[in-house]
Parts: sequence; C-alpha cells; structure tokens
Amino acid sequence: MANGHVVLLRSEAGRKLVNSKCKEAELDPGVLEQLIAVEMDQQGKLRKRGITEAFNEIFDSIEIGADE
Amino acid sequence: MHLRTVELINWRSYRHARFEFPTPHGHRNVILIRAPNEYGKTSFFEALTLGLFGREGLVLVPRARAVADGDAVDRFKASYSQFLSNTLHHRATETGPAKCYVSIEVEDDNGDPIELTRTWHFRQNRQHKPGDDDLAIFHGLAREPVTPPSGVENRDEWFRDWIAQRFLHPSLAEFFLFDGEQVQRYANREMGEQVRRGIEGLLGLPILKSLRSSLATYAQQRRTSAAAPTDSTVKKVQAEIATISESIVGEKGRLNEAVAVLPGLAAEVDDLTQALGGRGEGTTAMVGRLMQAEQRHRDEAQRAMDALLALIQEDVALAIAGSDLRSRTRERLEAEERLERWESGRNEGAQNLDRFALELGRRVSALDPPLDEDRRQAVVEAGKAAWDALWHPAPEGCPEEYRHPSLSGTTRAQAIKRLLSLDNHTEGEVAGHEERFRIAVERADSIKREWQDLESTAPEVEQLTSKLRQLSEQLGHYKSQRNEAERTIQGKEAELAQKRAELGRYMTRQGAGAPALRRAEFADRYAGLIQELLKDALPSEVGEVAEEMTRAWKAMAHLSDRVDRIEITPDCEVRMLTADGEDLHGIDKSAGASQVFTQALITAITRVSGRTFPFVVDTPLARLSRAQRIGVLKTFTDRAGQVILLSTDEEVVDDKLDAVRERLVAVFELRIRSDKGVAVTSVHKLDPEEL
Repeated sequence: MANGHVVLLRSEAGRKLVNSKCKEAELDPGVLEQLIAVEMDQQGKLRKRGITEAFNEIFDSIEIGADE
Repeated sequence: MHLRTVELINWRSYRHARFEFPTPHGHRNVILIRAPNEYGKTSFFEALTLGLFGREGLVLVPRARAVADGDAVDRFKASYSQFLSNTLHHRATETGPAKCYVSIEVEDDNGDPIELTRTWHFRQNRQHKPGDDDLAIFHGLAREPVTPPSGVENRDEWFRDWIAQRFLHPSLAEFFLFDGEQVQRYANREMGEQVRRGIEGLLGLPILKSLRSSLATYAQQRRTSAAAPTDSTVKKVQAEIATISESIVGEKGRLNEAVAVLPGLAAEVDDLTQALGGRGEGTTAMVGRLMQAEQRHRDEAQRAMDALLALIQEDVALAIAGSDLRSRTRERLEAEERLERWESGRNEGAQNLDRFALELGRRVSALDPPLDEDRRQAVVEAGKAAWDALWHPAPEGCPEEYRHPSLSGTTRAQAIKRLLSLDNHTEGEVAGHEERFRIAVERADSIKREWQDLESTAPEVEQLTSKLRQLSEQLGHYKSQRNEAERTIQGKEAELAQKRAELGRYMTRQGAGAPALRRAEFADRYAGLIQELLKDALPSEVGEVAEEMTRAWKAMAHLSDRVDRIEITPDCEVRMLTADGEDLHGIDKSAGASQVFTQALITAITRVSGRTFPFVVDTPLARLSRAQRIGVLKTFTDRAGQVILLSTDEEVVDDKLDAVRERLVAVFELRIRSDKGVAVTSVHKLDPEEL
C-alpha cells in the first residue's frame, strides 16, 4: 500500500533494488512496506503518537528465524 | 489531468466561492488568478493542498511551518487541528456548530471526472473535531463512489494511497504546488542539496528518510527501556570470572603439591632424626632434636604472622585511621545519642502539655475568690511556659544538630560498639600476635644457634645434619606454600561467588529486556536498509534530471549566461559547464540566479515525473530581474498540462503579461467586500482578451 507514496517501490527497477538490498541484509520487503505505512500514518502530526506500539507489533510478528 | 472546478465553503475569507476552469486547449493552458495581497490567493492554494492531501498536505502549506532564521523549516508551528480552526470563516459559527468544505473536480487523463470533497467539522467555539472529518470521492461520468474494497482495515491509508496514485504523492506535490516562499526556501540551500531533495521528492524518498529517523529514535528508546547492561559489561564480568577461576585452579595446584609432599617430607625428617639418635651419639641426637624444636618455633611464628595478616586484612582501613579519630567519632556519636534521648523526652513532654494546660485551667477556674478571665489565662500561659522550660536548655554535651542523621538508635549503638572493639583489636590482638611472632622467632633463632654450636663439635654427623637441615627447610617451605594457597583460595572463592552473583543479576536483567533489545535490533537493521536504499536510489535519476534542468535553465536564464549544460554526479554534486567543458563552479550568487536555478530544478522534476497534474504556482516572481521574470513565466507555462498562476495585480502585467498572454485560457480576479467588518472574498471571471 506504500507504493503510491514511495515511487521507488512502484517501478520495476526500484523494486529490484529494494528486493536485492533486503536479500543482502536478510530482511523482509513486506516488513519494510508495513513500516512505511506506519510512518505515513504519522505524516502531518506534531507528535508521533502510537508509532511505538505499531512498530512493536510489526517487529513482534517477525518469527524467530524468519529474518535469518 | 486538469482542474475543472474548485468550490470552497467557509474557508478563510471565502464564505462560498466556486471556480470553474475551462478545459485547456491547444497551447492555451494557463489560468491566471490575480488579486492584491490578503485577498485570498494563498487561501485558495491552501484549500487545494489540504483538500487533496488532508493532514499529509500540511507540510506543503508555508503558513503551517515553523520559521527559523527567516527560513521555514520542516516542522509545524501548529497542529493540523489548530491550523484548521483558523481557516474557518468568522461568520461560520454564528448559528451553531459549523463545517467548512473544499470540493475539487478534475478530469483525468482518460477524460473521466473525479470529484473529491473534504468536509471538516467544528464546535461552536471554532475548535476542529478531528474525528468527524469526511472524505468523499466520486469517479466517472456515473459518479460512482470510490470506497476501499471489503477487508481493508485501514481506510485512511487506502484513501491516501489512492490519491497518491491518481493525483500525486505528497513529497512530489511540493514541485507542482508551490509558492514564492517555497522557491526561496529551496534557493537558500546549496545546489547539490537542492538537487538531492528534488530527486528524493521525485522518488518519494522523504517518507523513507522520516521512517529512518523514527526507527533510530525507536531503537534508542527500546534500549533505554530494556535498561540492561551492555554486552561489553557482561563480557567484562565473564572475563573476570574466568581470570579468578584460573587463579583458583593455579592455587589449588600449589596446595595439592604441598599437601602431597608434606607427609613424605615429615616422615623423612622423623626418620633422619631417628637415625641420628640411633647412632648413640648424644651430640648428634641432640642436634636432630634441636632442629625439630627450631622448626616447631618457626611454625608457631608462621601461625602468629598468619593471624596478624588476617586481622590486618579485616580492619586495616579503620586501624590506620588512628585511635584519635576513632575516639572523636565515637564521642560525637555518643553526643548525638544524648541529643536523641533529650529530644525524645521533650517530644513526649510536649504531647502531655495540652492535657497539663487544660487541667491547670480547670483548677485555676475553681479558685476562690475567682480570677478574672485575663488573669486566669495569664496563669495558664505561665504554666505552659514553665512546663516547656523544663526541657531547656538541652543537657550539657548535646550537639545542636545531627552530623550523622542516618544513624539512630540501635544502628548508632552498633557503630559505637564497633569503634570500641577496634581499639581492642589494635591495642590487644595485634600486639599479642606480634609478641607471639617475636618470641617464636627468637626461640627458633636461639635453638638454631645451640644446634649449630653442637654440630661444630660433632663433625661426624655433619652429612646427616646437613641433610636434615635441607629437609627441614623444604618442610617449612611447603608448609608456607600450603597455608598461603589455602588463604588465597578462600579469598578468591569469595570473590568468585560475588562475581557470579553479579553476572546472574545481569543475565536476569538481560533476559527481561530481551524482547525490547530484539525490537531495537530489528529497528536498527531496517534503518540501515533504508540508508542503503537512499544511497543507491538517487543515481538512477540524475541523468534525466540534469538533461531537463539544462533545458529549463537555458530557457529561463539571461541570454548572456555562459552555462551550456548542467551535469549532476551520482552524489548529487552539480556542475555548471560551458560549451568548452569549463566548470563555472556554480552560478553567480545573486538571489535572482539562485531562484532561477531552483525553478529550473522544479521544472525538471515535474517533467521527469511524467505526471500531468496541474502546475499551481503562488506568486513566484519576487527577487527576480525583469528578464528573469519573463524567462520563468515562459518556462513555467510552456508545458502540456494546465497551469494555475496566482499572482498579485501588479506582478503579471505589461511585458510579463505579454509573455503568457497567448497561453491564457481564463483569468479570475478576487475581490473583497466587508460583511459588517468581516472580509468576504468573491470570484470574478474576466475576459483574457480585455486585459
């Protein structure tokens, strides 16, 4: 859902770059998109309320070993 | 894509206004909206921005951004709600709670209409009600409502993404919707930085930068909340435990060696003594016995020394403080003990004072002849003063205040007792051990002299006694080794237990903080990933942006400008090159030239983006020379899509108007009337041919 905002995620070359970097770092592109969505929720706010809980939920949902 | 209508209700000075924009045709694509300052041009710009993007659009609104050193910074000076509360028209709440409303209708590239309407609701005190915001979107000739598919949990996120895909994403929007301040804000930056930000906006990277910053803050907070010792702290304690364990193993080796050797040595000494005695030579036997006696005294001396060392290890710090200091400390504590007793008695007395005064008053009232009330009261007060005087002054030897307030009652008594017992240690036990050591050594030395004298008179046993002496020395050496090893092991094992307990506490805390540390680690890793993406994403666009910038620069800059082409390195370093390839090291530093550079960048970014969104520009010509103004107007309007130019009534006139005249498709004028002291903006369409 972050594609509309992050053009990099929309183009083929951009997605290739993201996937390659994620693979290199052994990280999940899906988690990156979830994090971007959380950050987008905070745009235009004076204080980023609720962002900690949202990040907690995302990181806690990563199964042990899934990131390895 | 072009705007067809924009309708505003209760939006700042607009009570109700509707702009109807003709469809661009041929090369006529420019809509000029002109009015003096404060007539509603910027309000129209803000309505369009917040109408499209809602909360996300706030960053594009100059009046919402904080200002530092004359330059607006990417920080809000008011919240979205606070900003909106100020947009509501002054007459809006006259009849109760109100709403303001922005409706935008566009025609997309397929010719289909899209109507987007945002409504914000307010309480009667003009306070915005954030939970009540409405967004309605209709698409197509049949005006079908646009809604998230079933199963979408976050509707706001879905709508944001829909708008970003159909219209623009907000980080690119600042290149399509901008005002003179925004241009100036960019122009104040170094060229390479401008280009970097431009390409980041093109690719939608600001959201990634913002996310990277949020993740870094989050990781730091998780670590702090875990409050666990760092890995280096734990490793340090583990290393200390290893060192102590190794040391204990070494000492146990020395102990085992001594314990293994000692029985054999003792037996050998006994046998040799027997052998010397068995020879029937009185002198020789005597030498053997004397040697054993000497060894016993040396053992006694060793024991006395061990006891002395043990005593010093325990109390050496207090002992070296000196008896005078200990004595004065003890006296002070005793004085504070007296003070505490006195205060305790006084407090107890004070508790009885009221009862005493009541009883005294009752008895004085019963006197015959009776006292008048003033005299009765005077007697009672005198009684209370006399009662209180019983406790003053404090007994002799009481200090005025506590110097050791943490000690009281039994803890103070224990401290006094400890100081007294230490005096006994130093004067009694230490001297006793020293005396034992001295006597034992003297006796051993005396016996040694005795057997040495005897030995000299018995040369026939010289060999045996020499052997016995050697064995006795070895015996003494291994006994010392055994005792030393035992003492060291005892001390090291206590230290080891302490370190293991410390490690256990750390491990427990680390265990409790493990989830937070795991989250922090993930946050760090994703922040690092974003950093890598930002680094590698930029070079992909620099070539095309440089080409478009060159084209725009040449169209806008003065004819005499020597720049032939603009090059941008993968690191976003900008080179302004002449036809001969000479680097001009940046443009001249005039404000106008800086703005032209920025406007060339804006033009390039919008062209490279491939978006056909209307170009909405609010008063962009300040600080430019006449030639530059004409160049900028021509370049901004020389595009396929719709251009909405918001300008003061003095800005686009004469030759500047001539520069865009052939492109004008409509001209609007904003006028202000006063409604009982409150400004109301109205919109009037003019004929472009009559300008």
